[in-house]
Amino acid sequence: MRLRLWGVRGSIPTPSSTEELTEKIVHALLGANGIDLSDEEAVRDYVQSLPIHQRGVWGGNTTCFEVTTAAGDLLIVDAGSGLRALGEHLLEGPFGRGQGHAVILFSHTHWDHILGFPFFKPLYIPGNRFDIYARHPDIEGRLRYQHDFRFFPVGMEVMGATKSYHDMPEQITLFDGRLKVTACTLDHPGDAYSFKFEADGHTVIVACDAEYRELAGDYWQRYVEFYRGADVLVFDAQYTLREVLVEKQNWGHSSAMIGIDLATDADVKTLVMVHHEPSYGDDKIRRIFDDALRYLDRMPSVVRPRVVVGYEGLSLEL
Amino acid sequence: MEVEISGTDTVAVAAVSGRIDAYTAPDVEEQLQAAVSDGRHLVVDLTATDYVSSAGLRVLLTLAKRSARGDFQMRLSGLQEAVREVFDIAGFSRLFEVRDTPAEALAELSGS
Repeated sequence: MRLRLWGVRGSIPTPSSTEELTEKIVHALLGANGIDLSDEEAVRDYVQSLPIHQRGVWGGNTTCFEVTTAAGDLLIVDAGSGLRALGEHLLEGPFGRGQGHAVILFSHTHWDHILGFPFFKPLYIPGNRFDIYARHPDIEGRLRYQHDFRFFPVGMEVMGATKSYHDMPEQITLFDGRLKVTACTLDHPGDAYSFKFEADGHTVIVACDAEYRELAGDYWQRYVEFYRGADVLVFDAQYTLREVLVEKQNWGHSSAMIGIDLATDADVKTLVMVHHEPSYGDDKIRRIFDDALRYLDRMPSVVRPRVVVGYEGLSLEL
Repeated sequence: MEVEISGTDTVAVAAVSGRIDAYTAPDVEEQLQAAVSDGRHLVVDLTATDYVSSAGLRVLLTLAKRSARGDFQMRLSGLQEAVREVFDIAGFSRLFEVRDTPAEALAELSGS
């Protein structure tokens, strides 16, 4: 099974600013001591050696993840703006010839999780087939609403691919039994759902958007059990702990520190932080996660998860 | 984890030893809430607390919010370096009145 991240930003697409990019270039050049700047290969090697947030970006596209089984089955979680780039990528294969099939699964339908849907080119190519699942009622109506002429220039009838809409049960097996998907309700205004994907002997869990209103007791244990033993847990870490508990209570999101506590209690192997706050620049996101790693270091637990900042293009092979 | 309550007629001193995490936080919260149920001020002595998780921070924050409403006055004391760092990482240090020792906190609240 493979997990690839196409959109990791929370709430709204967030392009980098000129000022932020200028700062990255300045810092990169200041650190280039001893590099022959007239040697392109040396410069490329140097740039490639820089951390992702210094040579590039964590990413400004909203939520979209790609889950692929070893047999090549494709499942897409959420249709944030990251879906547009995934669509361009898929056009290079069967989807470009009208021969593709994928499942699209929605955690919920807040706009940052659906706004990429109208820009997903494979939907416009006759012959492609999409099975669209959601726990929320009337997913077709919700998506169709977004295509109303008041909000988007073309209606859904222009999309030539075959679309089948399904109510997602609590558990389902897809692709002739090769992928099992289990849902768990998350605390988020209007509800959202976490999905556990089991295939090829591995488990990947996607859990955003989510607020954890209690950090102990039965409430906490319910999530610990759902996340238990996952190879990868993709986690909503939009806010700092102080924001979650003091300034942005009931806004429906969580923090890196809570993710570390849950992942540790649940023996998760790799914790991937996503849904980055749009008002935070790349350096601040890096600092927040450096703090989270310090918090992890202070834990008395012997077994600790690997903690990763999610970025566009991150691919985890299991 | 243990919570030992001592103090005076006007100030409860709650000495918490061990960890305050997802598994001990409910018990800690119950005992701290009980300590202030009779209207006393509260000193939480963390001298023997070696670890505080997000769940522990939440318990202390809940009490601090009650304190901010004027129900009672509250001080933390005796934070070990590791615990103090967790407070700093979470951005919580400025949310609490912290004193070096429980005696210092007790003396301060006894005079209020």
